[in-house]
Order: sequence, then structure tokens, then C-alpha cells
Amino acid sequence: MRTIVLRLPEWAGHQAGQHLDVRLTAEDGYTAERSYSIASAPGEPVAITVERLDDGEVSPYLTVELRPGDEIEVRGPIGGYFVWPAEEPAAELLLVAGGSGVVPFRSMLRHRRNVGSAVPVRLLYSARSLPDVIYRAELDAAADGVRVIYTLTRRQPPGWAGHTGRVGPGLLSEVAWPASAAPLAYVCGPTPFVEVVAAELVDLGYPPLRVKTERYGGTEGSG
Amino acid sequence: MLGDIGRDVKFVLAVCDGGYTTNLPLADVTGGRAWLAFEYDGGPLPPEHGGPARLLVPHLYFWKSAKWVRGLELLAADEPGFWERYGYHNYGDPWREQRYAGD
Repeated sequence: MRTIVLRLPEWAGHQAGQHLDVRLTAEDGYTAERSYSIASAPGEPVAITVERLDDGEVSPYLTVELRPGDEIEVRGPIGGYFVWPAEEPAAELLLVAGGSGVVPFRSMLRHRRNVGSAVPVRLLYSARSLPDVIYRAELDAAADGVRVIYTLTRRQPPGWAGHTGRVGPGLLSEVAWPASAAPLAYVCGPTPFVEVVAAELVDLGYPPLRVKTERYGGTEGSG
Repeated sequence: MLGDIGRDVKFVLAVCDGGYTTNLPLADVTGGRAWLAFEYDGGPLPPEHGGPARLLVPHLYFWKSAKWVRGLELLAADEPGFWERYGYHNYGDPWREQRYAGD
């Protein structure tokens, strides 16, 4: 995992939850373009957090080769659907992250803090183990009204009293805001994770239009 | 299916379960360029693949091949659909890599 801060003089600004595309061009002209959720809040220096995929075409370069001062091609911001405009009057906010799906939520939480929003938030963050949790110090110091609940699915530290195992109906019914409160839910992570969680939220009574999803593609299991 | 329609129809808006919509020029769904698929492998098209009926438009990016189609609105003027309103390209030609608005 590597968080990369970019200097983009022509950046027009973005909304929390949007992403940008990075395009790499090899000497022979071959290009590879990948999307990355923006980790920074609107108004902050633009940052992305990239997970290194062993068979990746772009992430190994970004996480290992890239040096401060290097130039990369970026376009964005992209995506008007998976955004949280803090100005929108909302009831409680439920954020469900699978692995690196937490990246757009970092943008949302920072934006919430920056604008002084009091919207109550619950972030349910599924990760393989505690070392796999990104932004941990920042999440542990989360602002008033933000509750972060971890579930560690593969390995837990000694004495771990928190949740274990994948996000399922039991954990969601315990952690999610009740549907009667008319909450707004965002789910982000690997495609299978998102589809399971979104279906379970609908089973809990969340209207489908109040469950926004961002799928990171691939078929790897949840974090 | 779209053989006998008025001459002022230039665009189609697919309207689907859950509110998903996507728009296409009429020319891109006629003349054998597109299908409304409702069967697969001898049986009804399964729900996870868009059944009972879905659009199949192989020459455009696949968000145009809308699943769970409830109706096709025939329009004189173009009307952007769901993703088209959220920053994605209005036409979506993969050979010109038209993913996002402005490509």
C-alpha cells in the first residue's frame, strides 16, 4: 500500500468518493490505464492510495518505482454517482469497506470533518488482518460522531475482542443503522464483497436507491 | 421489432428495473446491430444475466447493453441515461475508447 500525493496545477477539484485514472505509457507506446479512488478530501492536495497487485500492470510501478518529482498522466475527477456531498441533508451514514475499498471513505470522512458536518457515521471495515488496515491511526482518531468497526477475517492479534469473519447478515444487523432511520449506505470493495453486502442491506430493509456501490472488479475474496 | 416507427424517432432510451436507463441513437439498435435477448441456451435468460429481457449491443461499451429492460422509449431528441449523466460517455464506442464524457 502506498499513498501518493500529486501536484496537479490544473485540477478542477473533486467530490468525496470520486476517482481518477492513471495512464502509464511504455517506450514502445503500450499504454495501461487504471482507476484509483481519491483518498484526499475536496480542497486537500490530491492523493491516491494504491495497493500493489502482484500481477498488476500499473500498481507495481506506482508502489515501487515512482519517485517524488516523477511525472505521471492523470485524468479526472471521474464519476458522479458514488459521491457524498456533505451539504446534502442526510440521516445516518453507513460506510461498508472491503479491503482497499476504504479509500473513498477516507475522502468522505476527511470532507465531513473539514466542513464541520455532524452527520453520524458508522464505518464497517473488513480487512484480512490488523496490518492490512490502512489509515489505521487516522481512523482510530476519528472525529466525534464517527464510529469505526473493524472485522478481521483471516488473522487477529492476541486478545482481539473485535469482530472476526466476513461481513454477513449477523454482523450487518448488529452494526448497520436500522433501516427505519432512513440511512444512506455506501459499499466499496471487491465485486463479490460489494454484491453480497448490498444484497444483505436490502434484506435489512434499506431501499436499493439508498445503497450506493463501487465495485473494484476482480474476483478475489473480501479483505 | 423497431421496423415501423415514425420518422421523427432518432433515439432510444432503455428503461429498466430499479430505474437504470441508457440511451442510444436509433441507428445503433436497428439493422441487426443490436438484440433484445430473452433466451439463452434453449431456456429463458437467467435474471443474473439480465432476464427476462436485456439489450445486447455488441459494438458499444457494455453499460449500453442494459439488463432487466422494461421498455424502450422512442425519442426525437437524445436524453442521457444513468451513467451518461454521471460522467460517462454519451455514445460509448470502445474502438475510440469513449469511456468518459469528453473522450
